[in-house]
Amino acid sequence: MMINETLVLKLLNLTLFCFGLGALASLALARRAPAARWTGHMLALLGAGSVGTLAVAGLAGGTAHWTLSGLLPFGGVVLGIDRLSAFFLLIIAVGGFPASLYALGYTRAYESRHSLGAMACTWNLFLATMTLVVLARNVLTFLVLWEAMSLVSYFLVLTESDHAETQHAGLVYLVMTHAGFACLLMGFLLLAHATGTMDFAHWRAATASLGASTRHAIFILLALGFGAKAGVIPLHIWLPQAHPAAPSHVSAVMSGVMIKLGIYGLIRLGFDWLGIGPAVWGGAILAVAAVSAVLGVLYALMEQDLKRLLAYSSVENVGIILLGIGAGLLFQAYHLPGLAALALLAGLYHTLNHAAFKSLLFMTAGAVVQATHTRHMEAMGGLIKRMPQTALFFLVGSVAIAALPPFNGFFSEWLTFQSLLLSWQIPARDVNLIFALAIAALALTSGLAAACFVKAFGITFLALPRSDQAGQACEVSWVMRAGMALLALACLALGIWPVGVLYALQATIFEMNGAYANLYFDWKTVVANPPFATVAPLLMACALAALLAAIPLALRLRRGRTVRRYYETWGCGRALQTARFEYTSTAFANPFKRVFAFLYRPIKELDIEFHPESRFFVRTIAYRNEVRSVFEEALYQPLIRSTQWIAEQARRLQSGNVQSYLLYILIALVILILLAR
Amino acid sequence: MFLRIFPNLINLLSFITLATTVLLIVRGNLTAQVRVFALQSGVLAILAAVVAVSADSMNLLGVALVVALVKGWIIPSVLRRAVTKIGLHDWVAPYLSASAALVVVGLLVGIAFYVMGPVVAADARPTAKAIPLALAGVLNGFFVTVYRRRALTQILGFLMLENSIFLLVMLATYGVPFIVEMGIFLDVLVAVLISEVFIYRIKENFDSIDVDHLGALKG
Repeated sequence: MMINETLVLKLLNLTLFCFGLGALASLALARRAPAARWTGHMLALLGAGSVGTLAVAGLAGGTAHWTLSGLLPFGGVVLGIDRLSAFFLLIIAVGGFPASLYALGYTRAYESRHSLGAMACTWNLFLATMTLVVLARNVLTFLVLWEAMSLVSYFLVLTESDHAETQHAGLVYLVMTHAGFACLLMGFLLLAHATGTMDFAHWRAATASLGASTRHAIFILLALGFGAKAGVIPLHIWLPQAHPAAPSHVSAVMSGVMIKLGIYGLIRLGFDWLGIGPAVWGGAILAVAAVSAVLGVLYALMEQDLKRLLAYSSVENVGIILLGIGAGLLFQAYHLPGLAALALLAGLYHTLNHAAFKSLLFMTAGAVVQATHTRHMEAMGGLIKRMPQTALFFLVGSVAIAALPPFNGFFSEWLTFQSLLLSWQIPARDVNLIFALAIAALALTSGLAAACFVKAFGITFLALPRSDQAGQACEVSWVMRAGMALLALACLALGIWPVGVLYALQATIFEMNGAYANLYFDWKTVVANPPFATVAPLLMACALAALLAAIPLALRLRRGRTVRRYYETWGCGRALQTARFEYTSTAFANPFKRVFAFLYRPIKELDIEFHPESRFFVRTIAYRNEVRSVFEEALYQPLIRSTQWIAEQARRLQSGNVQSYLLYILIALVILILLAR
Repeated sequence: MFLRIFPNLINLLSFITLATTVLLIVRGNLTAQVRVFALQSGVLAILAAVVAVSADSMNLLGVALVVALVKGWIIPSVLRRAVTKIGLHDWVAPYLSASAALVVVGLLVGIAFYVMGPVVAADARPTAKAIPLALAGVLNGFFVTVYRRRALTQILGFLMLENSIFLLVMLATYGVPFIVEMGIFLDVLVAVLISEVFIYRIKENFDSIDVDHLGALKG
């Protein structure tokens, strides 16, 4: 199918028009909060829909080039679309569309407290800048838009800036994102200087002739910059702070979509801009990915804060995505293009899947938080009876993220596994060992992720309510549920019928790498590196559905011989049954805390105050058992301390006295004219 | 006749300009300082007129008139009004004693001559000999802003710095285009008006125009 270039341009204009109008209209209507909320988010919804159409047009082969030379120096604003950009546009649409719908209902709670005009305006700008970032085609356009995206998301994180916790989260986010930006700036300038062009399109041809050390320097700088945005360990520290602090529709898109733009940058860097690189790049990415995946899920498991748990789980999933991408880089370095394409495909598929289920989970978590007014899981419980539909959506998201069929997480993790297992084709022992460790890490991650989401779902939704607020929670509004339902359906569709996305990804990777993935697929089966491994998602889903249907059927058949009795759940013989007896989140996580104690380095404190008469009577018991953040203590604290020390020293120059500043200028002037002689 | 005395005349006038800057360093009374500035501007206007006659340029004559008008009359009267409004003649000690300040002035003049030596040697213009004096004026004007505590004197230092730059331009290129000159005069005038307002604010907030108090605003 041929897609007309003017059609693509019209779609792009429509998208920008929707977002631009949304931003302006919500500012203009800022005085009337409901009007601003509806207008701003409806236009964002339209814009996100238009992004989706643009993505489909791009994936179908539509190309466009759009230049505005006067606006920026060094080549002006240059936008263009290829299939990889279009695939990431699809991810933006998958996250942005349901989130905008959800925001229509969700932001209602903010009406009396915060400016809806500003919120809706920044929301539109956020979606618009993300869209433009993946379309940027030269250095300055990319950097300006990247920075704009970071700043806009920073303002969104600061929505509830009256909390000290939010302010701190915003600060950490701002610092990390700008440290990343500094790396990107240096890397891009180095690349542009070495190749002599600011235009992305010419880099692939120009970088082949660069020296090895220049290429290494470029790779390290840009990988650090993009890695900080993607949230890989140890650059992840902003993620578990900023995501919980933001309003939930923002967390959904930040976690589901924005961090994926770091992945986008890494793919462009490793497969496009620098061409085929040495094996050590792929190995490094693979190692970081394995560490991120395992540690991410281990930290998630310890969290009692629902949204922080999800944020750590994003670190884990970025690790899984990067396992695919790192494997792809390694396969490429050993000239196995078919396998490289397969691994990259697995990574890209998981990127899309994570956008769907993580956005869904953040939205459901937002619904729960709005209903119970707390993020602390120990104060929830029993919500499945109060909010049955939200519970169902959370369950769908949990099953998907735990990589269980028939939902989408299973399929992409299966693909990642297959591509890692195929590493025996690489004729190098040390690389095979790295792959073996990565496979082990992925297996461990999958198991721990399942445990983590059993905990998240069980503690939040099952058993008796642990607080009055949880006992009085109500189901959220229909627009919010509609947004979540869309994503739940997407999770199911991507899991049982992956063919459509596989077609698009094959074309995308062929366009970029000139090779198709070693993957055969038809409407019902998918075969990796035929005949290595086969999976039939659709048949599996049918079988599972049939099994589930068989239980009530069998019960119905036996009805004549069974007696139905309604009674309380068996209480182990206890006379009193309260929420205090329930299994807690901390208790659930404790076995893991003991097994991985070398990593968590838990602090345990037990203060018991005995009765003065007898030691058999206790007055109070205080118990504290916390997990320490190894990275913050070992890596960031010394960094922060030394920075503060330098700042203290520099402060002496800043006397606040006008004369001393003038004196500095005078001395500088005299020295300069003396030097000029 | 005129051509023979012209370089000497220029040298003399440039020297008087520099001397008035030094006078600003020595005098403590605000009204007297404003008068010194008006004097310097008058000297500059005469110098511009002399250069205009020698270069036979009507533009420069116009510039000389504007200098006399803006710097010799309008700005001094604005500043004088500020002095009377503040009604403040108390003595605020500068950072250095007058003798130490004069040592620094001597040093700066030396630096100016040292730096401008090659320029003077390379330039065949009859006015070139006075160029180091103009640079010394720039440096000394700047030094006044560093050395004095009172905001008004600092403004005067800044204005003298500006005057010396004007002198430098006169000596080195016989003046820049009229329109540029006008733009600079307007800028200076506006800067003075704004600074006047600021002085009132400082006075209102701290009961003094000693800029040391501004340190209290630091976070």
